[in-house]
Amino acid sequence: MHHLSLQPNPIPDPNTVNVDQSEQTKSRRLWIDSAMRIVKSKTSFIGLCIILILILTAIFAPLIATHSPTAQDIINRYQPPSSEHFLGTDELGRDIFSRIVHGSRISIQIGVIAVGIAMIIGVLLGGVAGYFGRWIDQIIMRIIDIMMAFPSILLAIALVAVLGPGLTNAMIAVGIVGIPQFARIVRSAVLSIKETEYIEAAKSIGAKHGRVLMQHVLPNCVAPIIVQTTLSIGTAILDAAGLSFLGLGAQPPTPEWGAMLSDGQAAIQNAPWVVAFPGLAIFFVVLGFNLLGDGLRDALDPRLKQ
Amino acid sequence: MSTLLEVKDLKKHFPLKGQALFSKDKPVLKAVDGISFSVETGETLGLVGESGCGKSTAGRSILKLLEPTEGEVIFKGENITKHRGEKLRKLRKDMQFIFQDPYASLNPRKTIEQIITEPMKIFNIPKAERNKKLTRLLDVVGLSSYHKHRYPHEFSGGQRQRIGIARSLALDPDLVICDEPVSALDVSIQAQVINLMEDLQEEFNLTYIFIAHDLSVVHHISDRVAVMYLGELVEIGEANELYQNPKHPYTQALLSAVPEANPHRDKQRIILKGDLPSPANPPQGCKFHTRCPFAEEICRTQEPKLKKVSATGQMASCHFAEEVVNANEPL
Repeated sequence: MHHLSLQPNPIPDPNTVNVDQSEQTKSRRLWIDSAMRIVKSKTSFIGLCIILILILTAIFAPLIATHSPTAQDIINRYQPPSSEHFLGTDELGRDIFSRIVHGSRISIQIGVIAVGIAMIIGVLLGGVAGYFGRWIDQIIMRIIDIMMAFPSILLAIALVAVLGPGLTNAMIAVGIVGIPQFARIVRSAVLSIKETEYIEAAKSIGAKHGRVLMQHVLPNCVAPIIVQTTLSIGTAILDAAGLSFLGLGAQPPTPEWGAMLSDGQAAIQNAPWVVAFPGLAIFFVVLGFNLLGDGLRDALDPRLKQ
Repeated sequence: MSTLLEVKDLKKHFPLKGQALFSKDKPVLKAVDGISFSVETGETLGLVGESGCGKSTAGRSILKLLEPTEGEVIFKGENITKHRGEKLRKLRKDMQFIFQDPYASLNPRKTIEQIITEPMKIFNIPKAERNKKLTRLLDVVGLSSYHKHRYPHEFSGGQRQRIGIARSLALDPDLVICDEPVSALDVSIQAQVINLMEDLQEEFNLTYIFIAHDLSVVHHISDRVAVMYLGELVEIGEANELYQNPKHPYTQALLSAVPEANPHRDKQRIILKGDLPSPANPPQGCKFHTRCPFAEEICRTQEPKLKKVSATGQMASCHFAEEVVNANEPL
């Protein structure tokens, strides 16, 4: 065989001369870049701080709380905020500050479990629907459409009504309600990714459908999944609080924020702190997750990279 | 030499939307409309034609990345047209594809090691052997072993294409279909990759179907060349002969467009009139007649067959293949 005259042989690129140490760091730049962008953006940084405070509170709850979250002290009921009870006491004389601190654990639990259920099922359904298309897509997405036709809280109430009230069932209900969002987002991401050449390449080397979907298609959908997860945690906490407020979620004496709101509503005229502080806790946590979610959406979008 | 691949009357039609409500025949786009050729073991067949003539579709249909509408693909004496599922998967081992765009054909979330060893993983080759093969493959395509932990975005276009080549060689294929493997690369890098492919062909006894629109690249690498127009083969023959003595007016026009290094050489450029007709609604008779400078009545009504036009086996599908031989001489 004759050669073109330009170059005798493939020569390793000169820019690959410096070796080992740089290789790992360089590969992670994508993620470090994203992390930097989150820290730089003010709003998402605030969100990140709120979530960090929430997580630290949950971890060190017994150390931070000044009282037992369930200890009753009927004589001191409806005490306004004071140095003894930072955020006052409720109708059974329980310390609201301690209850909110312990409630952070439940909120995180709800967020993680409910969104975990929604994510795993939603990603699988959306992935399968988008990847296989045709009638599989039609069936899955029409079921998703039906689920989306219900207002989410109504669907959650219906599910809890079937499953029976309680925190675990509330989490499952909130998780199921979150499935359509994930399924739709993942499906649309899969639709564009499955047309790329590297998916065709994976098929051309003999990969089976399961492998193509799990190893090649879904890993390239992580950015929208991460964003949706963060945004969903806020919604899940809010929905679960709503269920607890209606008496369908956490049962007394669990210090769940939504349940605390519900318990205190009778006294809202005389002792507004009983509802105000749990309400604020929910507000800040949901705000935190939403801010971080928005920030992540921007940070993980490579088109915005400068 | 023995025949490795035989393609018989291969067709790939894509259904079009917009079928009239009560009309029976569905509109289709005839991307590949009945091509036949064979490839001998160890040779390189160049497949050329302008954009949209069905080159890539033909390549993908042969590999069954697209399901052929009609026709037969016979690989190593076995008719693989009806192979599905597991049988087809086994076949992937022997037939590989090199993609056009090195930026799109590598999964951005996998390291080079994962990309190159994945085919071997799929076919259950033990880990020790995989690693040995990986080192060897990186070496033959001119990459170093410390590259293996990196991700595709850290490489240049030429390096990426070499990674793609390494992946396609991981399973020791017999046939490699290269879909414009260098058209996305710089000219200097093109030469590098082409030379590499030639070396690999010798070393691993590969058979190439080389799809391209760059005629000089095809001339350089191919033993035989096939020319496509609107989904059909219009001419096929031994590379040097076809380049020196094209019989089909379309081939002549194509070749007259190749830039010449010598500015003093007097050359007649054949300019085709009109645009490429739509493959959804191809012309009757000879598909080229709308743009052919020699078209006559018969061309408009009768479709020419691919027929032998020289002793060495050059074939062209033109009613006047014998007469227009000298058309590229100054008129």
